[in-house]
Amino acid sequence: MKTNRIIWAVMLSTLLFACKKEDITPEPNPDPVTSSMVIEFDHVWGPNLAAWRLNEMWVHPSTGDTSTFNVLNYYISNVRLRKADGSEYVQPESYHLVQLQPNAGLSELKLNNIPVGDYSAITYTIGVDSIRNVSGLQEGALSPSNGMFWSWNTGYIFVKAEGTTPHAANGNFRYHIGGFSGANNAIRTATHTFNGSTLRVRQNAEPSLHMFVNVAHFWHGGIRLSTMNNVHMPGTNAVLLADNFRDAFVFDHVHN
Amino acid sequence: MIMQLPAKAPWLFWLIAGMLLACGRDNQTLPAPTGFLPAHFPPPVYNFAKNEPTSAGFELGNALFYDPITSVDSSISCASCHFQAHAFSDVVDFSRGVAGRLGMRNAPPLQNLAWKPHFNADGGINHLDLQPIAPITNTLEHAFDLNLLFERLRQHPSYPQRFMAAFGSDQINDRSLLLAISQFVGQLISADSKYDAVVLGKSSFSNEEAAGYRLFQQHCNGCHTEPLFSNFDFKRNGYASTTADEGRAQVTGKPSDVGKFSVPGLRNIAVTAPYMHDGQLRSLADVLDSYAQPSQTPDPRLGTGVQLSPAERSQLLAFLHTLTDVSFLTNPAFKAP
Repeated sequence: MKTNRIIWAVMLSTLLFACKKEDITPEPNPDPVTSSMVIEFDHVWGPNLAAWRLNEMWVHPSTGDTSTFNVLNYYISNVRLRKADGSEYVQPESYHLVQLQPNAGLSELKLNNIPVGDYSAITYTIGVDSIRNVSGLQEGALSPSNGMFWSWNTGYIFVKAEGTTPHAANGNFRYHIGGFSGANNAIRTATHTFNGSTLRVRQNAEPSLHMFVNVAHFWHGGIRLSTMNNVHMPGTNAVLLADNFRDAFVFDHVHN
Repeated sequence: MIMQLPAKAPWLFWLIAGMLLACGRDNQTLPAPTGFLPAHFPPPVYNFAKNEPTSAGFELGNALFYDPITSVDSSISCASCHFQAHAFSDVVDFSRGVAGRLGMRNAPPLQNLAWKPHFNADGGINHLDLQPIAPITNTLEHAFDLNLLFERLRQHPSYPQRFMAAFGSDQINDRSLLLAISQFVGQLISADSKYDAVVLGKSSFSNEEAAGYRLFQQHCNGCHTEPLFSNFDFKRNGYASTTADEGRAQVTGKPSDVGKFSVPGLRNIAVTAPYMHDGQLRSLADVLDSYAQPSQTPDPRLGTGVQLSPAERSQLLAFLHTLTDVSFLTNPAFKAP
């Protein structure tokens, strides 16, 4: 009888332990100390890098076409930071949605949990990798309700640029750039070295990386708003615009 | 060694039972309505382990499916175009969305969705969880906005508690809404027709049905592959639509995909008229006519069409009727709450 009681006690305690949650966050490995940094996406226009904003009318320096943006959103994902010795920090679960606010030309993207260290280059994807386009429901920056998702043809809108232009019959332009497979792949990756300067991530300091995004570059190569004002699915035009928009990103300086 | 519960301590039984239940979710895993994951089906495409069906989740999905709260003016629900008696399809060629707006394709039946690798007649949607976004946001259907829908559900007197019961959190967002709907529609499994009984050795075909089955295997099974009755490919079946619908090409942009549509499953085919993506064929006899005399060049498999004698036609139709699954069409678990 006594043995029985002991066995029961053991079983009960086993049950108690079995109730422990399994998904407890693992103890941090001997991880490096982390801090944060900021990427400033400074939207500019044309060869003079004029300060550009949403809701302002601009004339294209080479085509002469006029445009006024009221939406400019894009995904920056899979951020990697490289040190001078070639080692890399790869940000896990790295999906960020940059959304310009009304009348704004600057958007700050804060990156947390970056290991302290000296970095000399950055690589990121403009768009969303193909795996996340085919893996069902995603959360956070990738939530379908963020308006950067095609409901009828599953996939993310990597870059959404909308506004008005006198060159389109209906007075509007709409570029929804995406596509993740085959010839329609519009996922673009950009790498920028910091021209010899160092981004110093420290516990007591939050450095920033100042990037120019030259919005006029959408129409690089003579693309005209009269003929290309409505791109709403993957295809040749989306690929062309994705190429152009990748080249809109130019490193300016590091601010430590 | 089997342990006897101490007779004097019945409380011990309840204590252990309570602890065991506390270890799981707050609600039980759903008992299979028509046999969860039929033994004669291949493994599903949908990963149920990532969205384990529970009774609270299923009931929440069931409530959302039948609730017009999901449309902009609260006038239509999913069930407005997906009737259980018709295997969750509609009886008209094109269904009407809010304000009487006419849709552009025939409403498909909703059954065995967990085995489908893509959705819609053009295959544009690649995951079950993402499918409901299309009808909810399409301006010809529910014409609603996801964020406004979340807000409406948050303000509702009972939905927040129901989300809490289903997911352990009253957060209403993409994740909880879409997983709840999948818990319901993912359980719409039809695997209990006469055909299934025959496959499982519990029944046998009549002579006419058996002859029809042989004709089916000879002429149809290449694309309408058993046991789901689709190979999930995109094909031209020889039927020329009068609508301007480009089908698969709308998704791929490839000229070679113009006029190709997703091969539909044939389960409950006798109760899902009208047929084809545009719902212009009123009866199965019309469908057989279309295959006999294609109005456009069909897939090479079909050659110049499938011509059957009158006797063969009635045999094939007899077989197709064995795909009707009355227990699915009348299962009380799938009715409006």
